[in-house]
Amino acid sequence: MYLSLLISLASAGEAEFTFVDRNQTAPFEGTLLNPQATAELLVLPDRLKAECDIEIEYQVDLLSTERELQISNLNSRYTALNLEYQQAVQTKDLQIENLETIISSNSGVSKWVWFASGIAAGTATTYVAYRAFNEQ
Amino acid sequence: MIYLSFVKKYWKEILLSLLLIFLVLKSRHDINQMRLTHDAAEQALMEQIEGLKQIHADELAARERALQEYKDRVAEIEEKYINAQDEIEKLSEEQTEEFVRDFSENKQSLIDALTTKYGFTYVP
Repeated sequence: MYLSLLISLASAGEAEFTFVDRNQTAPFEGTLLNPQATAELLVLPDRLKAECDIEIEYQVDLLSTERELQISNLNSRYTALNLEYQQAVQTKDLQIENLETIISSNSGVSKWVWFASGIAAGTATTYVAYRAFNEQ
Repeated sequence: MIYLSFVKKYWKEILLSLLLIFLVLKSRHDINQMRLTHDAAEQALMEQIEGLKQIHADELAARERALQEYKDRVAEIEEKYINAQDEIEKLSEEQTEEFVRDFSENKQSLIDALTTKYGFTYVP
């Protein structure tokens, strides 16, 4: 009795298969699959693996494309900011140049002319004041 | 002589007028300089605004191009995915038919396949 139990346990742990014809007795208890089901069962692992591979490839391609778009947009932003920065600097340089030109046109004309004019104006004012007060 | 006596008589008024004229001219000159400075700054800023508009337009165009490329690429990827799925479906059907044929024509091939794929033991 124990021996038969052990044999039955051993045979239950091992996966077995056989082919049976119509109305033929099966050598062990189990599940009977028709040829179509057996064929589909045989094809299933390769099919699942192939489907998994293309799904991974599909998702990776999508993510990669999305990243490319993000990188492209960031590059555009960077280029635009760089150009804006260069233009702002250029504008400031131009303004500085204009201001320098105006300043130099004022002061460059002549410090000496302004100096001499100041002395002349001062002398004239003093003289006028002197004469005005003297007349009084 | 008439002029000289006139100048001698009104020299203070003449001097005051000359100084006033000088002051007015100098003020006008300074205002003119300020206006020139303002015009130069305004022109530079206007050029900057135009430049910024152009830069912005270029950036938008670049983004639009990138988006279009992205859409094209996604469409390509989806088409490839669908084709691959169809191919797998077709191949699976062919293999299934072949295994069904093997059931009546080549049992040994079926036995080998079951043994290899699932590690089952064949019991004759």
